[in-house]
Amino acid sequence: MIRGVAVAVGCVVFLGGVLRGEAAEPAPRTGACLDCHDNARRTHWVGSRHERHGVTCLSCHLPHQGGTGRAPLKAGNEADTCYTCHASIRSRTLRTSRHPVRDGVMACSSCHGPHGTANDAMLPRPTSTETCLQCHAELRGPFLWEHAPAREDCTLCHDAHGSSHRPLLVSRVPYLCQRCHLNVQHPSKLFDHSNSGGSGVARRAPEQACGRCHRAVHGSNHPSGAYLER
Amino acid sequence: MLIALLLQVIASDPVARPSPVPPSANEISLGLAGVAGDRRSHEFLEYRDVPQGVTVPGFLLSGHAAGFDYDLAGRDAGQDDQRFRARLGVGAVDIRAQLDDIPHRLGEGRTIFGRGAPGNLALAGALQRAVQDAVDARVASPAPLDYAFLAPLAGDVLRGGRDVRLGIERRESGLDLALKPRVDLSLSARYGHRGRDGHRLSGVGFGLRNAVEVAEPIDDGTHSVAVGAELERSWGVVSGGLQYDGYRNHLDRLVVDNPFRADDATAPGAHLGPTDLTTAAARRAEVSTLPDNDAVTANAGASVRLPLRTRVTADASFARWRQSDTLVGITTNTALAGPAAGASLPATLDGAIDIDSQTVSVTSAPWSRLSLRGRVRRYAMDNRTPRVPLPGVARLDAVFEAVPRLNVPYSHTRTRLEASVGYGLGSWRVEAGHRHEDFARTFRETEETTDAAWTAALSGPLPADGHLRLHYERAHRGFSAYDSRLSPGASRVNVHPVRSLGAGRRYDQAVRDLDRASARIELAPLPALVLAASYALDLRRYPQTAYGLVSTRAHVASADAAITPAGRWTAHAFYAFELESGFQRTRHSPLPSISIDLRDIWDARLSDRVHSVGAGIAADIAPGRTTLRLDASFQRSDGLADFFSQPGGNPDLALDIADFDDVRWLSIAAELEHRVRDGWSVAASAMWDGQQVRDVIDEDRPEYVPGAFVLAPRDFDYGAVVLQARVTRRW
Repeated sequence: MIRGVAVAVGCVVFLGGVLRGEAAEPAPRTGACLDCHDNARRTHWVGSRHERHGVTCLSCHLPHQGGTGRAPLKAGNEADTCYTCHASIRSRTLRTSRHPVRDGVMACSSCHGPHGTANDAMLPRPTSTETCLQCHAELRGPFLWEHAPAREDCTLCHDAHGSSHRPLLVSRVPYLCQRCHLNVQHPSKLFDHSNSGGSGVARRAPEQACGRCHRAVHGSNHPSGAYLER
Repeated sequence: MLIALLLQVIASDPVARPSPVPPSANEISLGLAGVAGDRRSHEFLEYRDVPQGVTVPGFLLSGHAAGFDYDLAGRDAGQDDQRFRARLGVGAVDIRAQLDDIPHRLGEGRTIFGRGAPGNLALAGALQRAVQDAVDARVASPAPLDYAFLAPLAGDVLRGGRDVRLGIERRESGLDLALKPRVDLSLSARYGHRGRDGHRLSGVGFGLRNAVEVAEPIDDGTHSVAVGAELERSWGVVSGGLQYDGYRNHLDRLVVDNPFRADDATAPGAHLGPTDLTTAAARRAEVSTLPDNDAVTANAGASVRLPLRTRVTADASFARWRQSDTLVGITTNTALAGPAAGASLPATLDGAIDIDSQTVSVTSAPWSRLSLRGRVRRYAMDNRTPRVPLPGVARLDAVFEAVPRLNVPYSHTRTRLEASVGYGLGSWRVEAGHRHEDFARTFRETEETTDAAWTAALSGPLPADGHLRLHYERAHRGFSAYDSRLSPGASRVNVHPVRSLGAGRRYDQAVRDLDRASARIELAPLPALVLAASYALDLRRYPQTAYGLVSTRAHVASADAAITPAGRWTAHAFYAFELESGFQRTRHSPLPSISIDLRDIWDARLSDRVHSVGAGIAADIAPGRTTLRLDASFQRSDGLADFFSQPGGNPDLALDIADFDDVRWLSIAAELEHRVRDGWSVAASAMWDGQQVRDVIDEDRPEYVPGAFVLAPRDFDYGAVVLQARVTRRW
């Protein structure tokens, strides 16, 4: 992505703003802003993870110096602003399997509330699963045959920030499935290099792997879907 | 109360907007674009559209007319990734609209099916007959039914197919209405629609040795309607909202032909086929697509400011999820009509999940050095879907597995207590905290797990205008009992034989020790130079797990620098290194019972090493007239699958996989913009984007592998340059 002059300047100003003793007493630096902006969208700022870590309004925003959009950000765009502190997340969003953040289609605030929320990880909904379902409503169900970890928490299998393993998996299939499925016969078979490449590649080898037959991994509404095959 | 508020809105005068009237700002860009290089891979255009020819990179029309403030903006108009925004504001009313097109291109491959009605993936009957006859004749002969025999038949099937483009086009639209009838009262309403159209990769199995990857059609949409209100008072804020989401799938089911069968048949063990013992199977499969569902969510919250800089915040959320899509039949295999006839299915599932969530938090800073925080949270997901008795299920539509079953409505409740204390030691700050969570589950291996965590943090200034922040967390999860038979057995009416390692543990419930630490340092050694470095560690060990996920670890180190030496140019750079790995163990049991041979144990350590680096510079070549921007990013990801097994077991010798999702990605961009005269500017840009993927699955993989037709596109390499020029008029 092409970065404008404001971006690099923003990085310097942003980092400088964080440096200048803001961790010691955040309240005075945010109090003036909260006098007007302490509405429902910033109800959870006080006590939030950002506030407790010394982040202030001036850490991210340019209230009087112009900037981009409705909420002028120092680094020119939202993602670069967040990456200034969350460098590890920047690396993940550059991975080959990703949500389109580096493509400019989504932003961090698509899933997080940087001003604080009532929920963990500053999510807008009570759980990561409910947050994911805002865009992936097709997976809500409930289904006749549920896949327990999928009902419980999407992040058991997926890394929403990015992964080297499609689609956004914390580990590659079939090995991800084999973390939990220790059954006799093919679930416990090792798929190594001898049966994972060329014409010898097994039907359950890496890539779509188990999903070739167990297609309904998020849940099945088919009466014969007890094995998530239908 | 909501009606009273609405009446008050109607009766009250709108709040007058303050003057002065904002100036108009208008801008329109027209451009030319071209692409050169290798862009065959879908990944070059995974989430974007790169047109060739005339483009409209952007436009903005904003101003004030007839008492209205208006904005109309767009980007990449006419392209597959176009985006539009509109706003109309008058007095206390603000109306916004948006339209976003988001492509997600997933590649090209070859499907064995011809073009037909949506949801009906059909093969020519003559082809199915010919293949079935050839396979049956082979089985009747002494020769084995092996890959060498089946591959040419599969070739005949593939030749009857066609190339297919995978991808989903997503269109998101929304209309927002905001009212501010009083300074302290805000009302909002929103309608949104999210539609998807395209094809995604999925699979259908007709037997364990006959799986077919298909291009599954996608045609669905979600309607959302939401209303909300916020009331601000001197003592705090009260808010509430109601939202409805309705998902509708325009494709009820998917019917897929079996390339190896023209007639329905069944036989003992047919779901394992086709084999030398039997080639029986269904001639087609009827697959359920994702069902329609509805969700209603109500939320309410309040924040109250108390003396001694104390704030109490309470939030509650109530959701009701419902799913009543028509259930398909138990099987389409007419040979199973007899055994499956005993199934009495309801017309719909009447699936229901109720979710109640409450959170109360208290923060207080009674004096300047001390801060206190406490939080109580309860989240209950109650799956009230009725349990449907079934006499059995049709395994891959090949055999009827006459094992009485009940579906399993998993529920869970999480209750969490957390507290932290922060204290200022001069300009430094130290914080300590504790978190306790009980996680109760139904139908799982554990009834309840308990997670307890201690945290500590230290932050403060350093010389050279620096700052240091340290954080550490130690957590332990345990349970009173773990029964590996509970979850698999929950769907069976009768006791069933154990077919899984009893010593195995599922990592979402297993005993787990967590160590998480992070450090971040920032320095400004020179007035125009800022340096930052960070390190984060995440270690998870599952000490009581003999089989399953045993441990994971993740290290991330990064460094950033930014410089603005003279105000006319700025530069920045970053580097990050990530190392992630997971260690898991299992024991291969090829027979229908658990192997007792410890040589059948195999270990897998899967890791990724990722290097990311980037840099950029922005310069005012001619102040106020000409700017130059250069930016580059590179990432190298190396995966490794490191296996180990004892010699003499099954597997005998494990071979590592070195090419394991290895990716090289490079992006270089340059842009030169020149202000020709007031209101006019021209710009030229070039962007190179290249990717190279090396993976074991790329090794000359055919489209028919032992036991499966493989559709998935495997061309992830690309390298292309996008050239653009644009003229911008501002007024």
